[in-house]
Amino acid sequence: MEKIARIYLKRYKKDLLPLALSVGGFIMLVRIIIPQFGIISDLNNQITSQIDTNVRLNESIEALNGINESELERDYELAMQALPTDKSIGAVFEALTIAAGKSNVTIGGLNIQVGSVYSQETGKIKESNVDGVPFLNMIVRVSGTNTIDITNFAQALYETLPVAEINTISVSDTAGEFDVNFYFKPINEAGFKAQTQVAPLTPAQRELITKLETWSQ
Amino acid sequence: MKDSINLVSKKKIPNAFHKRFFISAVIFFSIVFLISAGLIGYTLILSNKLSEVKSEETNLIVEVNQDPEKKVQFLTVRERLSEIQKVINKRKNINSKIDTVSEFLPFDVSVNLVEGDDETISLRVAASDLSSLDSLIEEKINEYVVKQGKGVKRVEMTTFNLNRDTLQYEANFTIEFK
Repeated sequence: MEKIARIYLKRYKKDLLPLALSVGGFIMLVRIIIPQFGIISDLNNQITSQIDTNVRLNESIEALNGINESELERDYELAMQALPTDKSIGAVFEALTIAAGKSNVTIGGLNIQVGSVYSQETGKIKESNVDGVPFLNMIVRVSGTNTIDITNFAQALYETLPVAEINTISVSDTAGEFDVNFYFKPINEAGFKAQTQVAPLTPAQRELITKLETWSQ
Repeated sequence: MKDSINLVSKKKIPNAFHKRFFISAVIFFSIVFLISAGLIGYTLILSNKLSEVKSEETNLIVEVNQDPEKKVQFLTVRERLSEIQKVINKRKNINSKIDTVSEFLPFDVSVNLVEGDDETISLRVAASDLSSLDSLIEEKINEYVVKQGKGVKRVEMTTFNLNRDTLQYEANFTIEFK
């Protein structure tokens, strides 16, 4: 057996090195080259997304640097006035008084519905029309000199802050009753602190600020 | 098995074959080696670049959070505005519907009762002159429906009478919206 092996070794001695090189090359192809393509593509994707993140961060820095402090303060107050963080009864009364003044009517009575958190019976609890934005529901009774003034109260209320929604109207001669929702929403300040991307206000949002300014007067 | 039996072929392998095999193996190995080295080098460059952009991100985050109060205030304004826009877009517009109906009423027709929600509005109108109500029923309601297009589902006159106390003609209408 040994003799045969020696004969083979002697006969193919010259081919051992090229054979080892070929096997080594094949192993490198399978273990290094092919997996490397996957690693490179993954790295490229990571770099691209990281560059995108950095671009957005740079935009955020530019947006924050471009903000006028006093303008931001004013916009913040306006936004808070339009959508308070809680059931701000004081702000609601103020809005009703302003709307009543604008439409020449007098507030006759209010009925605030504070309760109702859960009910198995469907339709028992008034649900918000706007996803994720709770509201304070209120029945408002007003009196005026004519039907037109009383119906105008609804429009005046829509153009007063905080933002409200009228569900039903019932006006008869000099008396009216309105079912109104006043919206509010708590702030998630921790979420804002963690957030790193700050996009500037869109033209539609600027337009909305102008509208809210008009409504706040 | 007898060791004396020689199974190895006696046929001589030409030298040229060994040479070709050697050269091919060297070329194959060299190419694979160079490509491997190139790819490993490229991977190292990319890894370096990735850590650079990651450290740049860290610096940028620090810069963004330089004035956290301002950032939170600005993000709050943005969030509030988008929620306010949502409320304004989705809120029922009963008053604008009532206003639109009122625009079509003849000047001497008064509205004595308005009731409704986003889907239905009931009106009681009154006039001392019968021709005014006639104009409302014959012309104005049609004009209104044409102007509103597909928004109006149905307009129904539920009652028509003479109020003996006020001596006015009264009509009740119900307008259903889609």
